[in-house]
Amino acid sequence: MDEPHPVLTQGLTKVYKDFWGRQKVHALLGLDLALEKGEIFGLLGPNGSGKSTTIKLLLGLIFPTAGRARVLGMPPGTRAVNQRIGYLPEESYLHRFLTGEETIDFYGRLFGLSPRQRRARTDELLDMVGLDRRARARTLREYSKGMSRRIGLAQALVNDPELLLLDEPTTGLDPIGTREMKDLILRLKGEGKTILLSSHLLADVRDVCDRIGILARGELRELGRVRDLLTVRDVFQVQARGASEEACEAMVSAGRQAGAEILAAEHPTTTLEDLFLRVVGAEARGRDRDEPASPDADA
Amino acid sequence: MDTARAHARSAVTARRRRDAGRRVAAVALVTFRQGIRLRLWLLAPLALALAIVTDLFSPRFDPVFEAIPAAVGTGMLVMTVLTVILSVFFATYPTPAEMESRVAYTLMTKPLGRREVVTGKVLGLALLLAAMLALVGVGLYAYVRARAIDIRSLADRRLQEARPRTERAADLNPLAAVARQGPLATYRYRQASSGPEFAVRFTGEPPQAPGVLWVLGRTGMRLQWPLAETPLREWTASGAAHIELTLATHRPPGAEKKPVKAVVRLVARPPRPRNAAGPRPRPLKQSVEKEVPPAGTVRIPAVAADPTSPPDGAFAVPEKGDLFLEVLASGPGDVVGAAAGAVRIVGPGARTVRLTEAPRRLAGVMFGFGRPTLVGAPELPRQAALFRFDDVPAGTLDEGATAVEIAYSLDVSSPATVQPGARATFIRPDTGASRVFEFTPEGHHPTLLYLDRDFWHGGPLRVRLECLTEGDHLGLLPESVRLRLDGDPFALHLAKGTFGVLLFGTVLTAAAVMVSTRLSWFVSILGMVALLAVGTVGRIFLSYGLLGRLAALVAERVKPLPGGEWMLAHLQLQGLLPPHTFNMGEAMAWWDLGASLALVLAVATALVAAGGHLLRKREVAA
Repeated sequence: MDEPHPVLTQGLTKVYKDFWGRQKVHALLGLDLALEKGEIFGLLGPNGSGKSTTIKLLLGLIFPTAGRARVLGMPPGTRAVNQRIGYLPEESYLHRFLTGEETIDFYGRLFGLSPRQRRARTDELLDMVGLDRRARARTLREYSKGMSRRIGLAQALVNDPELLLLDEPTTGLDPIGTREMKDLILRLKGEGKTILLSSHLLADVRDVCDRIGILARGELRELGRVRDLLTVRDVFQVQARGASEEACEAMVSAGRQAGAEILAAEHPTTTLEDLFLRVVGAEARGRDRDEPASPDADA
Repeated sequence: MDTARAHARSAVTARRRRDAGRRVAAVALVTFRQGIRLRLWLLAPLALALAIVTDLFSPRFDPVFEAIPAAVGTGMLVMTVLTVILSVFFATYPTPAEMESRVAYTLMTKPLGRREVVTGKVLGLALLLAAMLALVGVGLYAYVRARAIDIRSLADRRLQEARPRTERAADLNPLAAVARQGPLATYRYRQASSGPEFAVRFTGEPPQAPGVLWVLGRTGMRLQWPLAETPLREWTASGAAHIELTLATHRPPGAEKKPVKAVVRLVARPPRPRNAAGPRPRPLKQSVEKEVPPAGTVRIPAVAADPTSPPDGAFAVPEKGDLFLEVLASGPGDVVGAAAGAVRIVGPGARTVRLTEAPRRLAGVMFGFGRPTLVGAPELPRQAALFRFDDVPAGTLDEGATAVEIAYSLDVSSPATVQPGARATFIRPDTGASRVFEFTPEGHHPTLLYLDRDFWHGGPLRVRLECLTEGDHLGLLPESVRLRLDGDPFALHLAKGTFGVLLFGTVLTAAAVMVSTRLSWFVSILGMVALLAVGTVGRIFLSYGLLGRLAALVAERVKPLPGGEWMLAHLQLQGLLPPHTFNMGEAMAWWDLGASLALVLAVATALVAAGGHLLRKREVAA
């Protein structure tokens, strides 16, 4: 028997209504989507395009106006589905009166883990997201934005899910945190997990996603593999290391002689993210982990 | 094969239940932690301080008997207020807060049923409430114990002072009990099997008249026959009729030979109007006073006429209402009696009907409470009330628990200048032995009479109660004479009361959580206030109009059922709170607590189911 798509939607539509039942906002219009097992799928779109609505529909937090959705082959929001998925909301919506350890322990209980399993899982996850012993004992109301995202991710992974739904996973993170998050997402993919992430940070999506869908005004406007969608078919780029200036000029001349229009022939630049990471590196990482909450961070 | 499958299925079911229990416990624990982290527990010492300050600054008329009940009562009241505050303001908070802060987004994407969320919250809040009530309860216990230290010695001093001045030794028994046992003694009661039965005590030997029931003049005692099954109304409508009564009289030996007078009454009890609940209209009474001739036959004409203006010396039989015939002795000391077959109705054409049944003997009612009244007289003949204890096992009254309590809440009315006196005679029907105690009846405190264990400690017992003072009246209830047995240790007593408050709070909490599944915090608070208001004034709506009639009909049908009276008392939420008698030291029965617990579990389960249903229909992220 064929394994079902981890996420499948057919004509999925959501219309928000006002108090009197009148149609107010068409948030999503006839979305058809099928995720493949083990892929990272990015849902792109500007604010209000329907990304979060799609994720909420897939989680059963809201009900569709029309169409249908299947998650791991079952209707969304059921206990059997929730047992096998993980969800990171766009902000970490967690009980702020609990400590980091208590939070993971609580969610571990909801998944029926035994006390020993919960202890082990709590240590493992908090280590993985980089929350040290002091941070674990503090209540979440004392956490900075970055720490909140980390604990949010830890709770999403507490049940070792098959499918992860990440809503704006890098929002509010500094470049180091963003890189760690992306590394983690790739590592989870390596473990065979399917990941659906929504974001409007295009660079992040490009770095980690296998396929993307672009939503605008509730409609899916583009769908495909990242490489396919981003490839410029009529432009060819050569990158070489160790070539002298003469050799470079010879390559450009050869191109011209072959009838090509040379658009650019220059040394490539690194990304700002790479530069930042190289400069501040481990020092910034260490400081961020121990950093107490600032009033701004909690605002 | 089938057996293996069944085993596998039951194992799966058991695992699901265990997992559901873990999830509910997790939500409960988080809700409890939320209350603790919000420092709600600080309300408990505040409530305790409020109870202590209120008690210390409230005037007490008699510290020996009132200080401890008042302290316990104040403590229970403060606990109840704390429960209401916690339920209205905090139990309505977690669910809307999770919705508004979007924590529900995270929660609802876990394998957590929405009914499990509601159950967990109710349990967590009940746990929080239990912890806070326990804090208050422990503090209250310590305070009450400290208060009790002085009271015992005060009772002892007062006992020494009062002993030389007291005319009736039994009057000091309550004070002696406090001096001996301390004011923290609790007790439970054993009710009389029957009583009060009112009778006449005669001067000398009672008259030998088999089957005759006697009534005494000026006591309100009367003999009554129902006339509903007789053709009296029909006969008076078609012509003249009359009622013949054959009465017996009694006069003590040596008394003045003046004629005995009897009052004969025709009572018509109007039917209840169709569109009104509440008490029935007052009955119409027509009275004719007659001298009872030596032959004993009294004859009263009856006609069909307007009952508000009957002809002299005759009864005007009204067209509607249940008819009764009553006979009273007229003058002080007059004794009149009748037996079965004493009433004969004679109609047109000399047709006759004789009532074969014996009359009912009823006591007079002198107070507004509607309780039968014992009327005092210094000399015989005198009215007496009999209470029977038929099924008391031997050894019921152990050493140190040999008390018989006479009426905690007697309606006592006495001439202001006279110290009222009463007599209790304990009679063992198996041996004929008796003990007599004289005491001063009081409306505020019970009178304790101690029976000698050698005289009686179980088996059948009769208690005859008499008033000894002219103009004295005692309103009596079935529980006016009861055996007072040792109750629980005081700590357990207080724990039971606290548990009662917790049960009350659990229902309130479940209602608050249910309301808050669909409403914001503020609107939920308003909803709970409205619920409490309706619960408090609901009785008014249940007394009048169509609802009142419906409620009366339900009550009439439920009351005779086993446990019917308990159900009616607990239909209101306040019925779960410790009863008023609890403050006075009367132990709450285990069965009562158990039944209350079962009721609370049922109601809370229904509220949780309703809350879970409402939450399931809600779009968490809409």
